[in-house]
Amino acid sequence: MLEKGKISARQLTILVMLLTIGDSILIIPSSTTEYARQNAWISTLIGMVAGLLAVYMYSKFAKSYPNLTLIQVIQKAFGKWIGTIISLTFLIYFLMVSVGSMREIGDFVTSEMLPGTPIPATLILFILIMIMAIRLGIEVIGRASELFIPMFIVLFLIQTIAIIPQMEIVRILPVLEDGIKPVLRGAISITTYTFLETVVFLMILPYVNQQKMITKSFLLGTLLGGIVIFITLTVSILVLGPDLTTRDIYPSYNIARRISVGGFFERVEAMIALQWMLTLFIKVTLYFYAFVLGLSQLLKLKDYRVLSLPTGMILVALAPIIAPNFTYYNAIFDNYWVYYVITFGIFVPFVLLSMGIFRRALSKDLTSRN
Amino acid sequence: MNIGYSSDPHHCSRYYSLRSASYAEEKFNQGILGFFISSVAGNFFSLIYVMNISISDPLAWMVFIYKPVADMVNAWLS
Repeated sequence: MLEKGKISARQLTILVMLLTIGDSILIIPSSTTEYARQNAWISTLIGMVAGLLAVYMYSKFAKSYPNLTLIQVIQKAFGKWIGTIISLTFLIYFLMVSVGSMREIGDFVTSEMLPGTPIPATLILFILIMIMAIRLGIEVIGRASELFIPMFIVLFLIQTIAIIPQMEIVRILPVLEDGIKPVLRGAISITTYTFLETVVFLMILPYVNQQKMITKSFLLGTLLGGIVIFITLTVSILVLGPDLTTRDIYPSYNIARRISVGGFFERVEAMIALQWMLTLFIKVTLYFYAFVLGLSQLLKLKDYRVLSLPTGMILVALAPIIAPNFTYYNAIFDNYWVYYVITFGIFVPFVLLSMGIFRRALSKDLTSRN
Repeated sequence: MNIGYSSDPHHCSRYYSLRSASYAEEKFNQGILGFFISSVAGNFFSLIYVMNISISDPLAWMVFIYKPVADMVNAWLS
């Protein structure tokens, strides 16, 4: 194996939770309320059920092909040539998600926190830490996530409790005013951005040292991440209402700006920026790691670390050109990116899982006949 | 790699010379690969930043592939 490190089931749960939250904590409220309006919280619940089903499929997939990463499974299932082509498309998907998330970091920092700072300055600082994390391996990333999680939970609880006085239940009424269809469209957005992106763990599950615990840890992490997203989205609607939530690019960040407890506990939006940095760091690092590891497996390299610095440079170079502006990125993100994620998050894993089940049934049948 | 001890000094030196040859070759190959990828990445990096390149519609391929599906789903769910 290229990666010698191992992570525990608890680290897997935390990594899944942080990746599920990822960039969704800032971006998902506006893209879901755009379709589902005040019923976006129902979309989140539907999305969570769909997401848990998808994650259950991923854990079944990991059990069907034990000790093999997704790229190795594809190579095994489809052979050298077709396998290489499908693997490359998967690697491009990992790269695209990493680049998209890097762009989000750059846009957020330059528009909300450090106006005037060039995007590359932010991106280079971020990528240096990611390269360091990747070179140290999955074990160190897993341990770092254990350090991050208490910080994240404390900040999230403080922020949620502090905003309670500004919530108004009337903002989520009327329920299902336009029927179920807009809610379903909102659910598609939330399922893909929040839950289907956990497909990257198919590259990491072979490195979990308690293989029997995979299903439980994976589902628990997804559920916890889903609960955080549900709370964030519901709070956004209860405080801002559906109109402002849709118009705002970062609704949860602006909610944190409104926090005022006793006239002295104010301007705490840096808290949500910190939460976002932590979750997005885990997300981009895991996607970047999957890309580097997968590429090394495809090229049959003996060490994946040799690729970390050059691919990091490619990542920083691609982030500014992936979209000319944030409006363009958002339009693609809302309308087409969902189907791109569905292709790699549901379609390909489902085909591979079906092939695995079919092959096992066939070999069992042949053995019983002989 | 398991590096064992041997009482035979000739065996030992031959073992280490074999190991160092393959080790050097491996490192050389990795170095070449690293240099190649780094130079491609470096050129790409400087091309974007020095020449300030921007693409007006970089994700057009995604729109081209997924537009029929997106239109169908939006028509059904609106």
